[in-house]
Amino acid sequence: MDDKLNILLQTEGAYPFVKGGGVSTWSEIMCNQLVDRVNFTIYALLGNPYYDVQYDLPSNIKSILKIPLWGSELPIAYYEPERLFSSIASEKEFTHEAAVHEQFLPLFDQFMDCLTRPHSSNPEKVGILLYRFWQYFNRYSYKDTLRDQRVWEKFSGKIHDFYSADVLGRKVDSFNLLNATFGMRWLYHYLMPLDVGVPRVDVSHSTSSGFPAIASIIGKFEHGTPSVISDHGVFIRERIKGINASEDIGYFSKKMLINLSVIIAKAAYHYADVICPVTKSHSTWELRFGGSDDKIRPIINGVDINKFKPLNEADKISYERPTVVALANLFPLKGIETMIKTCRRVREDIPEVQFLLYGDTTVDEEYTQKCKKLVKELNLEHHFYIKGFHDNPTEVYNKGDISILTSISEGAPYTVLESMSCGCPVVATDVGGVREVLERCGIICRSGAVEELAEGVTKLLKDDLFRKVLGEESRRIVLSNFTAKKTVDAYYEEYRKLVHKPRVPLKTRLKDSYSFQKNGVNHNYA
Amino acid sequence: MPEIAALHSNARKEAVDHLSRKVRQSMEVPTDVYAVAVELESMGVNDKRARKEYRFNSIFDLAEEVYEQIKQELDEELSEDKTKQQQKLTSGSVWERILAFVRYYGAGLLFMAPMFSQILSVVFITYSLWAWLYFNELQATVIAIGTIVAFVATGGITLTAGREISYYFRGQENYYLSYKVSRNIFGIGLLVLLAVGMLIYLVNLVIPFYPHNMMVLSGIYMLFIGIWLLSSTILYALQKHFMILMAVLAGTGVVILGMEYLDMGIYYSHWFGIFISSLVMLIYSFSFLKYQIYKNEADTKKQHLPKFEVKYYNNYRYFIYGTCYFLFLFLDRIMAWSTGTPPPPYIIWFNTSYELGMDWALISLVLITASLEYSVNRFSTLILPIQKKTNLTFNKKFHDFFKDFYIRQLFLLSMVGLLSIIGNYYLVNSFRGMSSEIQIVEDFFSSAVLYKVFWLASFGYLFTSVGLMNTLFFFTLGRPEPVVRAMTIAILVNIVVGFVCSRWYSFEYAVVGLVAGGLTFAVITAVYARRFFGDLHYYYYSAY
Repeated sequence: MDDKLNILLQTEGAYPFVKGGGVSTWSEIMCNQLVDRVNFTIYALLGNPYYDVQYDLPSNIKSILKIPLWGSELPIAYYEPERLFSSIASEKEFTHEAAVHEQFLPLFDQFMDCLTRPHSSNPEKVGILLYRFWQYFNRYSYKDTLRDQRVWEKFSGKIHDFYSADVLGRKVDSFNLLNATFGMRWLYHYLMPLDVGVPRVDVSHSTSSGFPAIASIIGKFEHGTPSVISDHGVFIRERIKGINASEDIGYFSKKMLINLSVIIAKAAYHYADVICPVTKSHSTWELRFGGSDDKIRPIINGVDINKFKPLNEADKISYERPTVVALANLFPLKGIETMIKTCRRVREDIPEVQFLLYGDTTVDEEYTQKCKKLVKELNLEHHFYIKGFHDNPTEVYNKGDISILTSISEGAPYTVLESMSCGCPVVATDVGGVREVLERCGIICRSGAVEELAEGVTKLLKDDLFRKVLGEESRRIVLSNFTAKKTVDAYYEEYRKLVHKPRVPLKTRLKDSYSFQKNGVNHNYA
Repeated sequence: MPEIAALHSNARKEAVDHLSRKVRQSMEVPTDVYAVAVELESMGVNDKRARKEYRFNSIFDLAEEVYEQIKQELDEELSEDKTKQQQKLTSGSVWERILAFVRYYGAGLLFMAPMFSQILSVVFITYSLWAWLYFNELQATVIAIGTIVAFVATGGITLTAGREISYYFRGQENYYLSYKVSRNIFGIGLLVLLAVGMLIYLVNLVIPFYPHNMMVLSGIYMLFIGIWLLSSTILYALQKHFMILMAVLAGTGVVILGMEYLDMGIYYSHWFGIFISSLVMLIYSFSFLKYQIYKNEADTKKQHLPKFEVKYYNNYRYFIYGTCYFLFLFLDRIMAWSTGTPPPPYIIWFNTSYELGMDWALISLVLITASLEYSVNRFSTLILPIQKKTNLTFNKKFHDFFKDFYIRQLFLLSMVGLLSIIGNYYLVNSFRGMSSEIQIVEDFFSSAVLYKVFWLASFGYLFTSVGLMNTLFFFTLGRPEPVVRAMTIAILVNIVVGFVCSRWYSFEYAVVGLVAGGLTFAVITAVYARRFFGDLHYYYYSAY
């Protein structure tokens, strides 16, 4: 009999459909290295439905649930591929006025209250609402309900009150109709996991405290499944950063998106059994948003030391020019503009220097164009090369003289660990878990500090001995502290502990003890 | 000691001022205190530095102070309450609108240019891609049946193909899937054409409506014309209208070559011409897409198109509409050609007089529908900015604006319609003076039912165009259901009225069916449009 554990691994915009990026790398390592101990069901939230699996999958991946949040008029056909079209059509017919009015709207009304007051919202109540929604969508059509005119009117009314109550907002922005349009559409897209069946497994493991964690909350209510969250970059912090940086959406749209992220993250932390940040420094954010000390157990990322290793001198082919390499997908959190400016500054001291940046240029094409423009403006066309995706990072780190990371937010970045593992010394910004891994073997600079970064790069490129010593020390530190085996074993240990905990589906308690008070009337939605 | 405390307090204030300025350089209005905390982190501030350099317990405490400072600054900068303000909603100056109309009307005409070129080509050189001025009625019947079947059989496919290819090409800028979907749909179209051809052939074997040779000839034309329509659809979706015109001209050139120099006879010349024209379009479309894939490295990730159910769900209503629309356009001809005195030799028999009236009215249709390009583009251009300009408190103004917009478009279309019909009448009628000198002109104007059919069909087309305008608004917001309903009823009205009039009075009154059907289509879609524009904000939201 198969005595492997069954784990639901929830990802977003990552493994196995999107190649590159920390979460994908981490997931690939987990799945491959636990091949004899764990069977995985992958629950993948995606930006669009067209991408196929981009990895060679190990045999322990038993099934994949593909949930395209965007880009499909009929997303259910992807996450319930076996379902007959006639059954989808009959669910549509079944979604009548009375169901929406009597069953959905009262829940939605309360959900909107939480959404408009996220910090004072009760995460336990948000979890119950999410589960009630999920139960409702088991029976009725997700799309037709959220497109219903009464739901739209409820949303518009609530949002109007929200707008009127925000003193700051009234002064800086007017809440326009487009904010409302996109606000409700975002709800439709981001809450789609509420329409997806959650399998019965031993443990559910979400790679973020955001929307993938909805499946963990549902699993807890429906099956009593214990759950782990791996907070790679701290979802809420990266959302706040990314949304605030957007130039395309107004103040209120940003606020709504962040509010949604806040209530989901709070509920995710509330219902999680174990929260594993990839660095200790992230726990301050987790505590702020409802994580508790007794749940937080940092597990730092580890790297495959057999794949990422220094090549023999005989096999190593270096560039003729002093070369700084970077592996980073192009989007704002990676601080690529800082990297380009650093290159300009380094060129002043080392005129023949070249920076080679490898990474997906399609993640944020607008940002990629902005970076390319900056390279041109600073006359760096022969010094800074945006090379696109590279499928052999070991070769990149071995060919480069040093590696650089200029991110403004990170977890425990693989590019730093992989460079170190290849004996390639690193200059990096002091973000996330960088200090934890690089403290004794690399150069750490303040985020956004071009001068400091340039000074570090120049120093390393000019001093061959220093570079060699740091490279060797980097490899040694990885071997003793940051191997993939260590990471994977630590997670497996958490799984083992959780499996032995008694499991009681929260829905059984719901009937007895939960009821919501509204307008003085007690509504029991059990 | 108080001095030291004051000194500390001043230093703290200065630090907070400095940080708030730096934060606002990257985010003008932070959404909350956490947005400030994140920004401070990206500036390199952490708990340690917050304690050591700024004397706060944590980065969050520091962020709170900075956020308070920013709020105060915002209070001083802007003090009006924007809930009480509403910008004026306008669709631009008169000049701007006129220029937009000229631009889009021109684009609409270019869209119709291939059809125009064919009319001119028949008039001046007697050939077009699949017409010839010297066809006898038997030959014309063969070609007409092939043409009608090709249009109806591909009508649904071409509409859905247009939607699908545009979705990937323009909506997603996914050139790899644009290529794949174009190839797939062309393949499906080809299979449908073969299946329809086979079906008609088999039915004719069982119930012999037409002689075998005639049926085969008609089937070949149907196949070639169908392929041409499918090929042109890809270019339409890629918005390469000029290339379609070029391909039409190339094909027509081949027809002339076949007839004038190679002595191939009209059938082979036509087939050769249509084939070359289609080939030019296909080679261009697929090379263009292949080049885009290469240029944008669009095939580096494994991707696939949705499975059949998803495609079906997305498109079946558009497919039904596309098929019904072409059926609607040809119904009156079928009614007119299946009756008369003496009765037609076969179940449907081409009537030159009737066809000339319809062809003349077709020029009206081309001139009228070109203006739809303006209306629908204007709608798409305005819908986002006007929502952005409308404060949620004043959403009635938004609906009033778009109700006015709709009335204006109706008025514009009516004016363009009347001017097009009258202009078309006088333009073509001015050639009548040449009757004594040019035989073709004399033949054209000697047709007994020409004027009657022209006027009635022109107004039928005008009404249909009103329905088409409404259709485009509905399609823009993903609501094909009302259109399908309206078109189905319009077809029934067209059949019943056309049948009764053509049998009761005279064959040419089949065109009254087109008028009644067009009017039905216009009225029903207008009723839906009224509801649609009255609640446009909701319909816009739910267009997914």
